[in-house]
Order: sequence, then structure tokens, then C-alpha cells
Amino acid sequence: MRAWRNREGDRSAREAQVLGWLFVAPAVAAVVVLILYPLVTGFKQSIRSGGFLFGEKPGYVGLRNYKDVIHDPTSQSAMRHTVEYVLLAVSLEIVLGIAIAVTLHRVFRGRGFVLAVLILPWALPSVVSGVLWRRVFDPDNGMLNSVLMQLHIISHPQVWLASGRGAIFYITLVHVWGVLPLISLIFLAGLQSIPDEVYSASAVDGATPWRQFRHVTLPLLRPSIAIALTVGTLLAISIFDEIYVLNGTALNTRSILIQVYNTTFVEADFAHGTALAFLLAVVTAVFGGLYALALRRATV
Amino acid sequence: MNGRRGLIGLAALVVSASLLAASCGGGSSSSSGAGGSSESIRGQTITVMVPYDMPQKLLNEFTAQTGVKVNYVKLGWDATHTKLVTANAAKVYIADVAEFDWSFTGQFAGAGWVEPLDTVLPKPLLENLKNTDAAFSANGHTWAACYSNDFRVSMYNKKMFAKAGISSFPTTFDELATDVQKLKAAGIQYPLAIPMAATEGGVTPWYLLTLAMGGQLFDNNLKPQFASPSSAGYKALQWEVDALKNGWVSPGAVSLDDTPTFDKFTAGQNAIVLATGPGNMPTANDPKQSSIAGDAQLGLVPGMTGPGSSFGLPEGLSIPVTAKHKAAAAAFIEWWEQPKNAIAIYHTQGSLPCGADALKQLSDTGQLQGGAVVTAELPHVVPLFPSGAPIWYEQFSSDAQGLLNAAVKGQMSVGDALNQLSAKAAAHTQ
Amino acid sequence: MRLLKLIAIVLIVAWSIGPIVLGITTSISTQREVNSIPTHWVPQSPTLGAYRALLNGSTGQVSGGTVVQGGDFVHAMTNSAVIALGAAALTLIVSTMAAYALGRLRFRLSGGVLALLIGTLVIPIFVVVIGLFQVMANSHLIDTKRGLILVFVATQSPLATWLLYTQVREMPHEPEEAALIDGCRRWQAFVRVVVPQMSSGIAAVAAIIVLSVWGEFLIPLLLTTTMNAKPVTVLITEYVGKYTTNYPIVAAAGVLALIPPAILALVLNKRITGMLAGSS
Repeated sequence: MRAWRNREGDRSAREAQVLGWLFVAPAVAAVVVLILYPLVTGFKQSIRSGGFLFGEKPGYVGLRNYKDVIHDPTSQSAMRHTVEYVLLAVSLEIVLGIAIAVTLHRVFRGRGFVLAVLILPWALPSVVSGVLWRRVFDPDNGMLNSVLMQLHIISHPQVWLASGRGAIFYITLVHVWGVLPLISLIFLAGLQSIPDEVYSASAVDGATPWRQFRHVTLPLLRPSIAIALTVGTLLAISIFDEIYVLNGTALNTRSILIQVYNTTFVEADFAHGTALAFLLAVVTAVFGGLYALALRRATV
Repeated sequence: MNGRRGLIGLAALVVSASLLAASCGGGSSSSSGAGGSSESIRGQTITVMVPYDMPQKLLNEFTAQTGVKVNYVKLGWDATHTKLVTANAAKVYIADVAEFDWSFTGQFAGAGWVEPLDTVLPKPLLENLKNTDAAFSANGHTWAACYSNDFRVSMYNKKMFAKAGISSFPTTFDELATDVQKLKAAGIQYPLAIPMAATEGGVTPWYLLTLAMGGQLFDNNLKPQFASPSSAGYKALQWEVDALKNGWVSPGAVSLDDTPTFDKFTAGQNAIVLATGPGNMPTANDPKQSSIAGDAQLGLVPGMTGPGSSFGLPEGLSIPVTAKHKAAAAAFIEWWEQPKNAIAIYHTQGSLPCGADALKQLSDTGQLQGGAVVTAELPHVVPLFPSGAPIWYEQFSSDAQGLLNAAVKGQMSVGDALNQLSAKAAAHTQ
Repeated sequence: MRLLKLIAIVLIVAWSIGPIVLGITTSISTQREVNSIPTHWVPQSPTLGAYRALLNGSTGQVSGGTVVQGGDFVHAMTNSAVIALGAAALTLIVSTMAAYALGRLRFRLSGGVLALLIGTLVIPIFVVVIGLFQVMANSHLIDTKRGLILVFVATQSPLATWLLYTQVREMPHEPEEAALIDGCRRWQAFVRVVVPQMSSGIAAVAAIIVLSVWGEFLIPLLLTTTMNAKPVTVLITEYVGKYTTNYPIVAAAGVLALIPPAILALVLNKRITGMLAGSS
């Protein structure tokens, strides 16, 4: 009896091994061929020279491309802009996200409708969002200019996307428009996990809604804030679509990714383009790691 | 045993599915045509990548004549350039006949991305194109067949000029300034149409203004000349910045490329397009395409003391080395250059023909719109790079696009922008 | 307090829907109305001309450049649909199998494989894009729909596998074990019992993949040239450049391009409100 059961057990275990490998094979193959291998190829390109197209001898140049990129003023301004995008986007997303989550936390009539509407901007391709918002910011025929002029707040049309800080702000606005639904949902889920007893306990202690929020809700939302922070940062760091549609490769709004695109595909400078891309990847990886940690702690 | 066979069947399925990623092939796979006989190219399909419209009717005629079908891909100019660069750098097939701008010569020819045409096209055709050959020649070969004899000239709305009481197009920048004020007084808010986006079309006006103001971008040793405040390049950029500030140009121009800028002119919003191609006259005067049909006229580019210099930016057709049907591609180029077809294309696409035969036919039959001005401008046309576009022109252009755009937006001073541009350009020639 | 909440709700709805409504009104306006100063937000003479031009393609030209190659837009929408659905289907097959293998079968090194897959989530796509271009070029997969589908399978599988893996871990073992005892082989049990058990997760992941892939821009921008495989996201940016001054056309293109994701989002919304039972 026991011998028979062992053989069954063995076969089942072996089957599990073989089947296991077979079943992960496609996923692993796809990832290795289409993600890891190109990653290595890209890295190799980042440590080579641009070749005679750039008046150089082909060959390996170590970290020279990385140094070039760090010292290049255009790349530096792209990095500055990206930092601005991230700080602005994440601040807006967290403040507005919590506000929206609090508003939609309790069930009310029509909440389903509001939630449905809320998700829409996130579901749209960011390129389409850019197209829709162009109508708002266009210097000649845009809504913003039209409304502000009719209200006599401005005297002649402004070119919103041409100004320095302003352009960054408006593009961030478009980006936040698309990301906010996701962040709001993260906070909504976070609020849901706070048991009601906590509130009733503090109400008994005589706390006003505002104090409740500050001293009870906010601290308990910390894991959600951590998740929102890292998700928001990851998304803002790689901002591309909105900028491309609204302002092309204009210098005043270039993010690192736009700079990578311009260097690699317009100037055909694959060497420097990949170097910049990898620099950004390292920073992103750090945030990705933080995200993993934050998620771990939140799902304890 | 039953189970194991099933397992192996499943394994085969899974493995073959993951092998999909490595599958090769797809698309036409015939070798590049050998020989030039028209019989051997029948039935082939070629891809032609040119950034301007081509009426299907003409393409059908080509197919009827040669049996070769044409897949015509029209993207924007910058997008076409980016795709060609990317595909060529990766040595990937993208088209059989490809756009070849004068600015490509240094890079594309230097990198060996296109076939030399002097052995592929018939001698009479090459002879015919001799006048426009220079821009596409390098290292003793011709790399493209000119199809658009483009140079810069101004265009204006004569009805608006009449309304403002201006009798003739200004010949100097001082006269231009006076005329702009008259046009504004006559109710035209933004008289000048100049593209200033961070695109190739947005830097061309600066090139033109530099030449018109009597200077050059680079000297004979390719050293940048535009950083010093007394240089023509510096004055040209300052002029553009001032034009924006003084309301001569719409503030939205900083994000407009040349095609939308021209569209605004033909929609009747501006009185003068400072930098455009002579081939755009048919479009501007076609009632189906323009609201100002009949009022568009060409004008000589103004200069400091009289009409200024202009420059030629011809575009040609090339055969990438990665093309699949090179004989059919050559046949297409030959067909395009025949005077009959080149003229038909001129009327619809606006590309002024390059062949001496076609040009003569056009002006003899009086079909050359604005012919007198075209003839008058030609002596003023000089090449932007006297010794040919350098191999690093693309990076220079890309840098210029960003920096000039920043200057007109007021984010950088003219001096800063041009100093940076000069430094970057100088780095290429070290 | 109530009033504040009401104002907040109105603001949320206006902010979320505003630009979309603006896009719709722009798309049914005439170019003249849009280009007038001040611009008309609500069209006084609404027309479906822009939609007609987009869907049928016009061969004539009006100032402002309305040549829309006949059939291009519809072709692009079809491409987007085929690519999104194809990628979703293939990804689900691949990821469901992988999730099951990692979550149930617990074979040797499964921990390592899981780490590998989740690890790639951290790799931003743009560092891969350049090398990817050359891999695709060498396999003649540039400018093909199947090439794009394969790329998206690779980019979507890690997240899909991880989401399904967490579901598999939490699912009860009993149904599968029952099937095994009944004499099913492992893979039969997988197909007949486990997959149906995972159906709600699979549906949710499917919706997420379709939404993500529909919205993809940078990858198709680099990997497509002709209309063979060009999705609507890339075509729209070309319209923005070409028809900068023709807002109705660009807006109509945007509206049409957002309809499928919007429908999908409304469907997804039911699940989300389901998850958020909400306290009263």
C-alpha cells in the first residue's frame, strides 16, 4: 500500500516539475527575448562610441557617454524639468487624491455615477488627453484664453505653453488629470481599510471631523500615501506622451524621456541616448524598489 | 501512457507558441530586381516615402505603364526624416524610393545609406538634372534625383496690400517695417506669418534671414559665424524676437510648423509669408484649397539695401541600400522626372520641377505661377553650406530647433541661445 | 459640511468630464466657429462633417488642410483593436499558465522565476525600446501587428502574472485536488477546474491589459511606419501636426479614439464599485 502511494506521489511531483517549467516557459521566453536581451544590447550601446557618423572611431568608451550626458546643458535642463514634473505632479496627486477619496468614501446616491466618471480620464490614452487639452491651451483658439479674455482677466491671448514655469505647470496638469483617478482609488481603498470603530472611538473623545482627519485618518493612511507617492513618482518620471502632443520637442518642456527620444531617434545618437535612458532607469529602479517595500508594508 | 502523451502534446503546443517570437519572414521577399528590363519588374510593389501629397490618379498611371504597384507613404517632414534615420541606422528596410533632402547629403551619403544613382539612372536624365545636382553630390557621386526645386521666396496677399495702400512688395527690411505698420492700421492684426516651432520648418526662416541680411551661418572652414552680435545670424534671430514682441507675428507662431503657418495665410489671417516655396503658388491660388485664391503673389525676399539673398533647399528621390526592388525604384524615379509627370505633380503637390526640360516647358507655356518673380529670385539663391551639408548637419539642426525656439519664447536671451548653438556646432568640427 | 461635499462632487465631475465634453463640442463645430475670436464653445451650427471626413476620408481639400486619406482612421482603429485584443488574449494564456505554475505547482526555482518576472516590472520600457527596435528589425517584425502583439505580451505578462499569481495563492485548493483524485492529469485539472476558478481575476486582468495596450504610444511610434500596423494613438499625433489649425478633425479623432477605452472603463467600474463596498 505504502509503496503504491509513493510511486503515485513521485509521479505527481515529477509531473508538477515538468509542467511547472513548461507553463512558465512562454512568459519567461517573452521576457528574456523581448525585454532582457534588448536591455543588454541597449546597455552595450551606451558604452560604445557613436562611430564615424559622429566623427569618432567605433569602439568601447566606458562611461564616457554617461559623463557627456551629465554635463550636457540640454540634458541637465531636461533633468531639472523632470524633477519639477515629479514634485508638482506628486504633490497635486496626493492632496487632490485624498480630498477626492474622502469625498467619495461614504456611499451616497449617485456615487456609482461619480466613480464611473472619475475613472474616465485614466482610461483614456494619454495621447488623447493631450489632444483634448490642446483645445484648452491653444494660443489662438483655446478655451482658457477665450474665457479669461471674456472675463477681462487678460487683455490678449497668452501662449501658455511657451512660458517657462507655466508650461511645466500646465503639462503637469494634463498629466495629473490622467493619473489622479488611479491615486484616488488607492486612497479610497486605504480609507476603506480603516475600521469604523476608530472613528466612533475618537468621536466619543469629542474630536471634530477636522481633528479626526488630522490625527486619526491621516496617520492610518500612511501606507496608502507611500504607495501613492511611489506610483505617482514612477509615472511622472517617465512623462512623455502629453509633452509630445502638447509641445513637441521644444526645450522649455523637455523631460528626460523626450530628450532620450530626440537624441536617439531624431539625431540618431544611439550612444548618448541609451546612456541617458539607463541613467534614468537606475533612478526609476530605486523608486521601483521603494514601491515594492511600501507595498509589502501596506499589505501586512 | 495516456497522460504522458497528452503532456507531450501540450509541451509541443507551448514550445511552438513561444517560438513565434523567433519566426522570420512575412512581406514580399523577392530579391532586388536584377537588370533594368521593364519585364522583370512587373507585378512588384514598391514603397515610396515622400512627405507630400501625390494624387492616386498619377500613381495609377505609373502602375498602368510599368506594372509596378506603388504603396505611397506620406508622413510629416520631420517624421519622415526620423523614420528614415532610425531605419537606416538599424539597417532595416523602410522604402524602395525615399525622400532625400539637401540636408541629408552629408549624413546619408557619408554613412552609405543610399545607392549612388549615377550608374542606375539613364544619362539623359542625369544631364537634365545637372543644375540641381550640386546639393545631392558628394564624393564624386550623385545620391538623389532632384524632384523639388525649392528655394525660399516670400508670398503676400495683394488684396490686403491694396487695402493698406501698399503698391509693391517691400525690398528692404526698413520698407517691410513700414508696410507692417500700414497693414496693422488697415485692420490686419498679425501681418506676418513665420513658423517658429521647434521643428526644421521653424529654423528655416532664421537661415533665410541670416542670408538675406547679408551673412552666412558658417565660414568656409565650417566655423560658426552667428554668435557675435554684429553677425547677420545674430541680427536675424533678434529680428524674429522683436517681430514677436511688436505684434507683427501671432504669439502662437512659437508652436506652429511651416504647413499650419501657410494654412493660416491661405485662410486669410496674415498678409505676408516671409519664407515659403515658389511651388506653393498653385495651392494658394486654388479656390478648393485656399480662401484667398487669386490674391496670392510672390515677392522677392527683402534684404538690407535691396532684395536679399535666399537659399535653395531642393529635395530629391533616393534609393536606400536596404530597398527590396531597386530596378522598380529606378523606374519610378525616371517616371517622376519625365516633364509631363513632373508638371502634373507641380500642379497638385507644388513641387517645382528640377529638370531643365520641365522648367522650360512650364515657363514657355506660361504655367509657371509667379514666373517673373521666380526668375528674378534665382540669381539671389545661394547654397546654405557653400561646401555641402556636413555630416553633422542633423545634430546642428536639432540643436538649433530647440535653442532658437527657446529664444523666441523669451526663455533665453538671443546671445545665450546663439552662444550655446555655436559651441555645440564648433564641437563637431574638432 | 454637506454643501462642501456637494461642491466637491460637482467639481470632481466637472474636472473629469470637462475636457471630454469640450472635445465633443469641438468635434461637432465647424472650423470657422472654432477659429473665431472669441471661440465658440457651444457650436451654433453643429455638424457631423468632421466625423464624416474621418470615417469616409475626403479627397478634396479645404483651407486648413482636411485631406484625410480615405479609410486611414478606420484602419488605425482596427489596428488598435486587433493589437489590444490579440495582446490581451495571448498574455492571458501565457500569464495564467505561469501564475498557476508559480502559485500551485511550486517547482524548483519557481521562486527565482517569480523574482525574475516581478523584477522586470521595475525596468522602465524606454531603456528596452532601443535594443528592442533592433531585435524586431532583425526578425522582420517592424511595422507588423504580430510584432507589436508580441512586444506587448512581453511587457504586460509580468504584471498580469503577478496579479493572477496572488489570486492563485488565495484560491482554495480543494476543487483542484478533487479533480486530481478523480483521475485528472495536472494539466487537465488546470484547464477544467483552476482556470474557471480564476475567471473573475482573468476578466479584470484582461480589461487592464486592453486598456493599457490601447493607450500605448511610444512603442508603436517607433515600431510602425505605414498603416499596416499603426494604431490610432500614433495616427492622432500625426493629425495634431498636420491639421493643427483644424480643431474639429483633431477633436473628432480624439473622441472616436476614446470611445472603446471609455466603454471598457465603465465595465471595469462595476468591479471597482463592487470591491469598494463602502461604508454608509
